[in-house]
Amino acid sequence: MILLIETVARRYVCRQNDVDTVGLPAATERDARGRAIVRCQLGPLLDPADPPAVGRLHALTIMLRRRVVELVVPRVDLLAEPPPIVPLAPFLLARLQLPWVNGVALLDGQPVIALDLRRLAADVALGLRLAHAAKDAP
Amino acid sequence: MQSSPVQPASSTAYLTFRLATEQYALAGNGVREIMRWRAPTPVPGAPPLLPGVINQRGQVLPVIDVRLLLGLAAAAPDRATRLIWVHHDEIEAALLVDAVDDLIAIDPAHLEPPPANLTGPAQKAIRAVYRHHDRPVAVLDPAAIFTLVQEAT
Repeated sequence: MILLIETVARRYVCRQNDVDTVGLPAATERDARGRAIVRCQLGPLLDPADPPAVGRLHALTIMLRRRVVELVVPRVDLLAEPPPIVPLAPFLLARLQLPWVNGVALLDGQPVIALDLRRLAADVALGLRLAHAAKDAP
Repeated sequence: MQSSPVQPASSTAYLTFRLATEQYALAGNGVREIMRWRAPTPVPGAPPLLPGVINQRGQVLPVIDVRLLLGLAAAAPDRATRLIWVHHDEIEAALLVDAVDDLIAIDPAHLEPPPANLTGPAQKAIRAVYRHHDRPVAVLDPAAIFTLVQEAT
């Protein structure tokens, strides 16, 4: 199944299997097993032109071995009909700073980037960021 | 019977387009379509010369900003901005250019070598020069364009 993620300015899709839970952001800094929670807004993390969201937010939670990553977004939906996802052109894939993109889906005729959220979460937990967001990294 | 301009049998059709004040050409057999500019969907982590992807009738095309590729300053899109859908070998892409001018026939015998003083990306991308109405037109090598995309910083 595919999740449609909406940030303030963009839409993304991801595999539902990449995400352990979708819900409200945790109120604590550690989960029940004592793992540190790394929390960040997905929109500004991916695109400098995508401002932070305010108001009611949802957390896409990805549990890693030693950490939990919460990617915070304004809206998440489960797509009833998963769109086909086509791979990125190899010459574009090779130029990405970090391998966070699986491909491109077409929704309503518009390209929507398909994210590899587990890879993204693992990199975020390690402190890796795209160049525009590097200054905000912990 | 009326006479009409005759294209020499050896001529090849080239699409001419503009970047800043310069005119460029690409072999027409590598061009699929010319589209009006629309904002591409950005791909997280892609360099500025690859500003995103577009959908053109079900085909997802990466956009290449040819200005940035050739080391020219970025420019905001306007009404003349166009995307040229090109294919080369197995690669499909949309080239972002300032404007598309014309389709012209060029006899290969009239192509001149590129200026010796070219440097940087232009040196690799410009295969020849053709004089069209006394103005130089830089003929681009599509293979070099895709090589430059992979090499550009």
